[in-house]
Amino acid sequence: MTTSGALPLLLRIAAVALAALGVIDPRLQWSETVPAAVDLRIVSDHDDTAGADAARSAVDRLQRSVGEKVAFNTGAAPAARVLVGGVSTIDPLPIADVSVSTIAVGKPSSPNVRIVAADSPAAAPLGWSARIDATIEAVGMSGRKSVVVLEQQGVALARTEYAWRSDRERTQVEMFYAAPVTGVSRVSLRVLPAEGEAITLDNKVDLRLETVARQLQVLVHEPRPSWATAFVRRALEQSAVFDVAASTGASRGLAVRAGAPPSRLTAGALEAFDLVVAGAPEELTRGEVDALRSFARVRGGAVILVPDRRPSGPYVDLLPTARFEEVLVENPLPLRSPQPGSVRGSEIAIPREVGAGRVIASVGQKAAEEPVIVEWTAGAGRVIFAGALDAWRFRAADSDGYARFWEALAATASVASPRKIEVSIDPPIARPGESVAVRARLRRTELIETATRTRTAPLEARIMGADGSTTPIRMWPTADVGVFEGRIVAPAEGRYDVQVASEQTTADDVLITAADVRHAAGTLDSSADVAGAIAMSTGGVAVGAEDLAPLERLLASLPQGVTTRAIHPVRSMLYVTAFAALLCAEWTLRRRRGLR
Amino acid sequence: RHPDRARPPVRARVFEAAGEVIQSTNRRDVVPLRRPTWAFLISVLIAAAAVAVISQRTGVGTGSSRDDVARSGADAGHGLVVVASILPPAYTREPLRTLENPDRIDAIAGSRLRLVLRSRDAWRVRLGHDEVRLQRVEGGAAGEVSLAESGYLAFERRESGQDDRRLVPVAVTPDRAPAIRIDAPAKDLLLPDAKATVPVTATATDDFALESLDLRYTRVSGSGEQFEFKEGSIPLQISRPSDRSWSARTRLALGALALAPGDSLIYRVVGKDRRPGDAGFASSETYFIEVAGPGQVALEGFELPPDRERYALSQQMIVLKLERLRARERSLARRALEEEVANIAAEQRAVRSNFIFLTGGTVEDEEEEAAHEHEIQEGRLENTARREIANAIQHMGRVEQGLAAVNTAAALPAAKAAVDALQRAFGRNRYFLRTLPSRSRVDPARRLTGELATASNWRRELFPIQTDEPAAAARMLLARLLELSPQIRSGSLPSAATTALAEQAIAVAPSSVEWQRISKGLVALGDTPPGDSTGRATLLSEIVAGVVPLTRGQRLGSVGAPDEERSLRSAWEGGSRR
Repeated sequence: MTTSGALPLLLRIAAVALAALGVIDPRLQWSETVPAAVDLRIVSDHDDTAGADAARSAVDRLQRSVGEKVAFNTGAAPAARVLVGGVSTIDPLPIADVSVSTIAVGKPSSPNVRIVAADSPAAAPLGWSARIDATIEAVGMSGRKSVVVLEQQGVALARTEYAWRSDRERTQVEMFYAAPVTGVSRVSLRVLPAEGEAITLDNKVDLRLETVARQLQVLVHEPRPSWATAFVRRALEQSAVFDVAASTGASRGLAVRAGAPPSRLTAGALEAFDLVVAGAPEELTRGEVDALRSFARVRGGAVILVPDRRPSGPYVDLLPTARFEEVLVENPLPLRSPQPGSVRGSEIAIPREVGAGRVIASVGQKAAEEPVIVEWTAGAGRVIFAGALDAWRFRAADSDGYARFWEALAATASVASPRKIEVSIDPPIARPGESVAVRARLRRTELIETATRTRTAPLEARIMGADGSTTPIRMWPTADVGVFEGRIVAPAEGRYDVQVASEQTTADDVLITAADVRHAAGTLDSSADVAGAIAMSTGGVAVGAEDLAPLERLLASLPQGVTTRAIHPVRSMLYVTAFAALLCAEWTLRRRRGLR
Repeated sequence: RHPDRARPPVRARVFEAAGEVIQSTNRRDVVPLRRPTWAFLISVLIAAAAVAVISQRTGVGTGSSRDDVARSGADAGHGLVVVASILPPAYTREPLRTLENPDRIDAIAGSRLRLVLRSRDAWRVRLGHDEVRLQRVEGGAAGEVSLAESGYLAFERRESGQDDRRLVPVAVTPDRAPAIRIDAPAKDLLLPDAKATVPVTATATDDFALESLDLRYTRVSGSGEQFEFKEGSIPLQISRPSDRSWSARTRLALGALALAPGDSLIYRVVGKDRRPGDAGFASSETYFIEVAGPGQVALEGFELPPDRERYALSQQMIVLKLERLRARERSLARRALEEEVANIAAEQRAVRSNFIFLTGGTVEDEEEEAAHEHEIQEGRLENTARREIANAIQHMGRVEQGLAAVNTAAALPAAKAAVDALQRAFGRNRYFLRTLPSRSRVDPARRLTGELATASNWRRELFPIQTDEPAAAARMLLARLLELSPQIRSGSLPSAATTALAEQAIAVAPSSVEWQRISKGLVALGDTPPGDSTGRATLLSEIVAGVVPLTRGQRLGSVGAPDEERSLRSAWEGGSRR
């Protein structure tokens, strides 16, 4: 066969091969490089038109300089994020799965007031004011005043003023408000915007306020009659918030009782109480002291020791110090205390070592202040020593101040005593879609402890909507014994009951979700700090609008993306053309030879 | 310009020509007055119309005594004119007062209030929940009501499709009883014998007028198990500088009162204002004069312990009062009887409380007791017959129950039983209910004579806690306002709802300025046009700002839950000590 004769054959074979390939339609992987995807967001204060313009200008410049190397907002998974504008006003911050860089626009950051931190207060009994503590910070407000308002549904409930003394200042404000009904409500803490304030979105924080109808269980135990305790007892008995049980040893084997006190002071018998007020504590037996210690450490209860003479006897072991100094003065001294009410004393037992204790009331001036009423943490609970031995004598000195002091002290200590299960939600008011932690803390009395292991009863948690829909929450044990935590995604706007149940008891809490919830700004000093922190923690850069070079370098250095896709070559027009060309060539050669 | 300088012919020629021109000129064209006159008249008409409209809206200028009642008064632009005539009780000799469209009415208890309503519509009037009967009079309706306690007047339009209600608080001030004070000797006396004469001076004041003043005494004599109480009165020399302020003096000649060694004289000055019946009766503090008994050492005029709680009320005196009350019970009106019974019940409570305290329980007023702690301890040792005292306390409780039911027949036997029990308990000792005089006579013979076998546990009675009703009402109102706040701000809440809230508010404490302000604000909220959302929000904030302090929320202290850092430090320190 000559060469000229073989060529048509070859062409024919090639055409057949292409046809066969066309039938098979093979699939091939094809990779190509693409510009890096960047998610770019402009965020600014709604009132700040100039800031928005500056942000847009910065974006234009950035797009011109690195537009060939990166692609903005393509919808693809971003290789980096860029936030432009008022970084501190971004709420919530984007998920930091990639580097986040920030461009600060030229808007001045002062004068500005912002709420740095504010926690939802602990639940308060009905008729009692919850204490709302907040940290607010001002920049460029020296000599001006800020008004802090507590609001509910836009109605001002309480307000306080603060006069700023320096250009950069941070202060604590406290407000009190007694919710009128039991339950959970959403309130807002708002700093009224100052004239010309740079950023107003950080002036408001949403808080949860809980009021409970719970009556606080108090036991007043006196091994012998004691005036010091009798008047504390009377103050508590006159308040509806306390359910007081009292036992006074009148003589050997004889007692005067009121309410339902336990017949003996044992750890088990004390579990039902939130607070034990122990009068004439030097008469307590070693067994009773052990019961009180267990009550404080394991049950998490509060013990208030109200002696009327110099501390002695086994109960001193409950205190971190056994050294006391007894002071007698001719005229009663008023005790200094942040507590409501007032107390005076002329016979005072001063603990010589306070250590980790917290001084609730003291005498003397700052330089020579001596602790009189001190609280020490004891395990899960607390022990409070009241060293004003004869304060009861001066109880009428400040128009019922004595009774108010003791009511407030007892109520605060009792409220802090945990129930069998304590449920907490963080954040208590969340946006739909926000991650929410549900935490259940079992009281130590609910744990089954052996020498080698600690067990708990099975725990079930669920979240229930107003329409009756129920979603279980998986609770995981944490590093803390008896503490379980679960995470949920905050559902649509509304109120939800989060219920945690063990075999014997159930506890619940309320989750409020709303789209316009605002959380505290955080503890970083300024907008620049926030931006820097975000950038540093995510591998981004924080730049100003006037100098974008570091950001341009970062974006230019982003690895270009590689896109891999599947191709079918036989489906292309080139393939069809090649097939047709082969057939045509073969036909032409054959015709030249005179073949058909 | 200077006609006298011109030549006469020229001047004459000029004047002649000017005269011709003037004569041919229309004066209305030279000085046109028509348009300014019309403009002036129209301006006056517009101004008059504006004043009329404004005065109709605000009520300004329609009467000299008319306050700004547009929002809370009786008129409020609803075509209602209220004329309130307040006639104080006759004994006060106060004049009649007439108010037109008042925004509050102040009156003395017992006053008559006459209301005249002038309106084209029919109105209904309530004093609190009680309807005031109205009669047709010329030009409107009139009604009359007696004012006994604070409340509010509600004016409601009868034929109104929508709620049309005006509220006027009525603050009724009770006539205070006279204030009587003994100025000298103003202390208890222990005298060595009954020969002395004690000068007594007293002053009395009243808010309107005093009627009488008298010194009354009770002579307590006797020994052993029985005491004799004899009452009497001594006339006073009264000086009357004015109807409202009197002073009086007398001399207590103890010899003439036949006091013997060991006897006591309890005296007080009683007075009365001009109110009819016993309502205006008042008494000064009660003082003691005790004549030293045999073996008792007393300096001349030695003052008894200055005890603020002079419990000159004994159970025996309560029996005496009950017996007297029973004797005239049928002649007393029900209200007067209730008042007297309530007074005796209060005294009985005081007596009972002190005995409870003496036995180690609780008392109503502990202040003075606590200051005499050691005396009380001494007293406990002295009173060994505690069981009898406990019995007496139980009987006293029954007396209180009987008196609470205004049943003197039930109270009297129990009161006597209490006296018997006390006499058994105290034996020779007298038991005027003071804390214990410093010279208490301890009877060593009675010590350790009780039956140990009868000692037993005791259950203390817990007193029910009184609810703070105004605070609870404030909480309810606050909760309602917060609940309704979106509707209030948007103006979609019917004014009937805010008026109902206003009535609830004023009903809590009609004489309280705070509650009046809240009620007035709520009425104003209802009157604010729905379009004025800013005004409604401002008013709502003002009302809430007024309500929040009335909820009287007690503050929790600063003791918080143990934080981890303190717990750790505490545990560390505990471990270090071990």
